Amino acid sequence: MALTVDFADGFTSASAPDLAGSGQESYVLANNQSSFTNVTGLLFDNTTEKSVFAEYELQRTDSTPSEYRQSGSFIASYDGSAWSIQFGAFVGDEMIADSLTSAYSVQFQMSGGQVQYKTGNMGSGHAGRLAISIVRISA
Amino acid sequence: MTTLVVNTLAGEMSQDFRLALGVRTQIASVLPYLYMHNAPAGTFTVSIEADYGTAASKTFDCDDIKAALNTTDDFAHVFYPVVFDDPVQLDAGTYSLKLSASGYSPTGSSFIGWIQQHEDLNMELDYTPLSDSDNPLAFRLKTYKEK
Repeated sequence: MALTVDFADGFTSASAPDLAGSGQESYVLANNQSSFTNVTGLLFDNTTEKSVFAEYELQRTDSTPSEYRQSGSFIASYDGSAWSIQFGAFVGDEMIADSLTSAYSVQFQMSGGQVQYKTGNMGSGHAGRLAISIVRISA
Repeated sequence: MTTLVVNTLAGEMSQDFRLALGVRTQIASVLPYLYMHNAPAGTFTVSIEADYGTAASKTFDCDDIKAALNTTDDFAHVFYPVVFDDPVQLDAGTYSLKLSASGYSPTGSSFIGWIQQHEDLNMELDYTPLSDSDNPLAFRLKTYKEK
């Protein structure tokens, strides 16, 4: 999925072109994050959006080799004072949890408009990725 | 009116390309086709990745993009020229042009994107695109040639 941008003639503009569609975004998740840390770049702005809908693929691998993958959807919503995030039905390994119950577990929370995460310790050679296809509803 | 198909940069993204010459190719510059939406803060890196590691890399920011276009506008699309500081000579093979960022937090109102275009000599595909969103990430590759 990609955004479409309707750009007026020329290569530059002082005002924002019209955007449409959804964006696919990919974020790195580090191993063994025992304290909540930012999903760098996954940030919602309540001045421009109040609801965000996304489909995601969460993947964690290590050099054992072990591979865990969970696919599903989430909704993030701003209620006027705070953001909340809710994960829905999923397919695959149950990685997302309310606490780090397994080495492959991932826990998410909102801090303001910033999505944060914790991860269990999967060991050496870890690679973690949260890939999302996201639709941001303009405020 | 131009309609651009843009992949938003979040962590990093890359586009494979193949060099097929019988001799080593000396890279003069690479020009990823970038879209700048409201000039986000951050430092961006374009690199050529080989199976042995990073062959070349260069950083830039949105002020550099504006300077290249001689503009103060915060919205632009451009084949941004990246000239590596050191000579880059590559053997025939498959490489990856990668775009990454640091100190950058994209939002719906401020981001950098890489524009997709149809397959051409630089950007081979090993599948058949069914829509514009299946097209490769566009770039141009400039090489030195002996007269």
